[in-house]
Amino acid sequence: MAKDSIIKIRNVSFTYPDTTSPAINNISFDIKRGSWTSIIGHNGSGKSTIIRLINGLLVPDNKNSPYIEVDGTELTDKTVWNIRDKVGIVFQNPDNQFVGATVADDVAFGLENRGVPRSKMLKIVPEAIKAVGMDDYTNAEPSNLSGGQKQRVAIAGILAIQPKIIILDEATSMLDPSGRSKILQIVHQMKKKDNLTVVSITHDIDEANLADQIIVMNNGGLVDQGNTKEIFSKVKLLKSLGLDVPFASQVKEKLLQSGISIPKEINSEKELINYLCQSNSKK
Amino acid sequence: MSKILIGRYVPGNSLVYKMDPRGKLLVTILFIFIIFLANNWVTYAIITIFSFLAVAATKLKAKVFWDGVKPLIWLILFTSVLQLFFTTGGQIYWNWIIFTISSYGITNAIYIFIRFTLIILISTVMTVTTMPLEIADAMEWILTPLKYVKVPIDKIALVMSIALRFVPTLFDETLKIMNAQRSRGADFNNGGLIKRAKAITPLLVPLFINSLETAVDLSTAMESRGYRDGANRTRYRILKWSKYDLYELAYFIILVLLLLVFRTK
Amino acid sequence: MSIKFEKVSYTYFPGSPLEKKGLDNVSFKIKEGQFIAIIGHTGSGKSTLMQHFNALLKPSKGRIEIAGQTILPTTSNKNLKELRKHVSLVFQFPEAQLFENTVLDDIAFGPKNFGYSEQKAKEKAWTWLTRVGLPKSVANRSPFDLSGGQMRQVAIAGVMAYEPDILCLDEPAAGLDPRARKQMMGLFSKYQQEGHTVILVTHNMDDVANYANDVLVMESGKLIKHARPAEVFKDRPWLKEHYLEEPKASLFASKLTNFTFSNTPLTIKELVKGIENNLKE
Repeated sequence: MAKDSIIKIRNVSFTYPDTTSPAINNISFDIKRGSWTSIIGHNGSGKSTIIRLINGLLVPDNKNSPYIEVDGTELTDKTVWNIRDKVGIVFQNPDNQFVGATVADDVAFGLENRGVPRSKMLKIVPEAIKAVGMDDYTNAEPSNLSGGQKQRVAIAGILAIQPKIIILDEATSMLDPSGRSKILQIVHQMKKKDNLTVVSITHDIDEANLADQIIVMNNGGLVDQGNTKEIFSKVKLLKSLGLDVPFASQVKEKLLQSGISIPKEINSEKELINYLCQSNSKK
Repeated sequence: MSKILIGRYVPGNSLVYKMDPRGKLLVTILFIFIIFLANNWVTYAIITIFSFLAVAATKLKAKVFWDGVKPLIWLILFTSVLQLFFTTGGQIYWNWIIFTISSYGITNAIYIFIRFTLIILISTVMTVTTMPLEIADAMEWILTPLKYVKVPIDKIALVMSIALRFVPTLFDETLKIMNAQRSRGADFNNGGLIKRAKAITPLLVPLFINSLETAVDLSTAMESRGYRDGANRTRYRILKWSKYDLYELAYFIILVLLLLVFRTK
Repeated sequence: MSIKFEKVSYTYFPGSPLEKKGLDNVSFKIKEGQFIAIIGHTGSGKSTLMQHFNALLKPSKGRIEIAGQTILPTTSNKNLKELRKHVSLVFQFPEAQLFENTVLDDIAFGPKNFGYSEQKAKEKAWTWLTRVGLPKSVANRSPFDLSGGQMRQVAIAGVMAYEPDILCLDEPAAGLDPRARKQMMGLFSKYQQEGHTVILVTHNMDDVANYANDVLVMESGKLIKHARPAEVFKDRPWLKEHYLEEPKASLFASKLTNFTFSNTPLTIKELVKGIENNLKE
């Protein structure tokens, strides 16, 4: 098992009420502290269910002695609220997580819930809003904001609590390309600055490619796990699961098929381009 | 994507806008009671002048207030006319079966007309200068004593705030659904009553489902963000009294005193 | 038949403090039977333009000829059914429009509104239920019992069941996983090949490269370019200047600095071919 795991999942299963087959079936994995892990898998593979188990929104089925640990604390009825202090989740629908009447109100929501004195809130809220570049919109109403702007506010609301882990639950899937890249840019900055651990659930292969670790889910089970380069080189496996592969891997695959030899270790776009340019100048 | 203004709030920054919504709400409610202190021409003139000065203080166009009175003008006239024909007293000018025009009748008709109109004007002053969320905050403050009889005022306030925040969003969603169903040939405008009632299902069901989804997502998000039952929540958005509220208080007290002095005992 | 826009302008909230130009003097002519893409960054007027196709919005100025009908600023709202039978619009996340008790009834809603008999409407509903890839077993289930992806399929079936001549879609595959996405785009491609006009409003330049044969580029309510995909994506500086993305293939090709490509590769096929050609010289 990994040395410093900030999230530990052991033997966890979950079945939604009124369904027969489990959404998650006896899963175990670790998330390393400070990593950016992407969880990929088809719709219904259990990705979002895992997230809701990590912060206690859902409780694992009572079989196989499930165990969930976040930042060294076991997740139980008593610790669930402490764990929610450490894990911030940005959900998919920008509107349906925006509680406040204005940007500032929404960012303050998490602080209000924790009984933070108003004098402190008056300092924390503007800082968090500034960190996501929304200071011009401090008193704006959500109906006047774009999806990307609302997601930035969601991130600010999480930053205000200073969690250790930030989870993106398909947080960019309803945004246009510029909104998407802005969000990922901000999360990346925050990760660097505060040494956060990022877990992102996504369909977007380019977003998944930003991660250093990938977890592959299929039909409620964990199929594979490893670092990004390694996982994305398994083109056949990913395709058989109906998943996208980074463009560079697709190009490599097709070049191999047409008889052009490319060494196994060449996997990322940078490496492939370098290799091709070198081959072209050598001939 | 509509920037529709809910309620009748019109942006501005005159004196009235600077007053605390709690004061404005209280004054509006009390106004409805003190207007009954007026019972002669002098007192009616006083209260009319004070009301018009309040309207003028908003620095908004007269049209805004006419829009507030207009929908109710027929009701006002109808009630006045009833007073005119059914109050007897003083000198009788005309009589026919049950209808009488008397001097009391005329006076009361005019008094009722003025009362109605002034109440609407003052309510409009409040709704036009106070945002819906501020009104909700003011209502929460006024209802605070209910906490002592175990009414969950905090929760109600949060519910009101969230509901108001979603009004424009739901409005946009309604437009979207209407457009989608129109594109499939649905007709919301034509046809008799029954046809139109049926036509509403393709609008209501999706809206309802959408609202349910929103509610579920919201509660998930709120819980994830640490919202718990029974916790001691602090407040970020608070209301603060200012000198403008003192002006308002003084104005109100002077009005009440004048009415008490000049009314017919 | 063609689709013609002549000097079409549209103003939101004319005369009010919120007045805004949605479309600015847009003119173009498209042959029917094409697969047309409308691109432009958010706020460029793509969805305003789209809503003019079936008269959800009517032009403030100008003239539109589509599906044999004319739309003018003065066109009344009364007889738009004939137009909407032939020009179908699908907005983002169309599963939001589902409302009937069963999947079949929902798919049949459109056809029934457009004059199909109860029986014919049911037939069409069955046909399209299968064509979008749904299993027959869902026909009598409530649409709300289905997964998100299946609900999307029901919604799409619902707008194709009356077989409109012109089908206009705004990011129809948004939020779908890769397999579902491919299947959906394939459905539209086939529909176009069968002789219908498909108009795709999208940010995904790979979809534009893979499926479209004509492109309308919008910016700030104006039509700034009308050309084939190859033309549009050839000029990389122009794309950058207008904050437009390019297909993955051409981006990749641009990084192969010592390669020469006779034409900017837009699809992975063209890219691989181009690379091969360079290496095998």
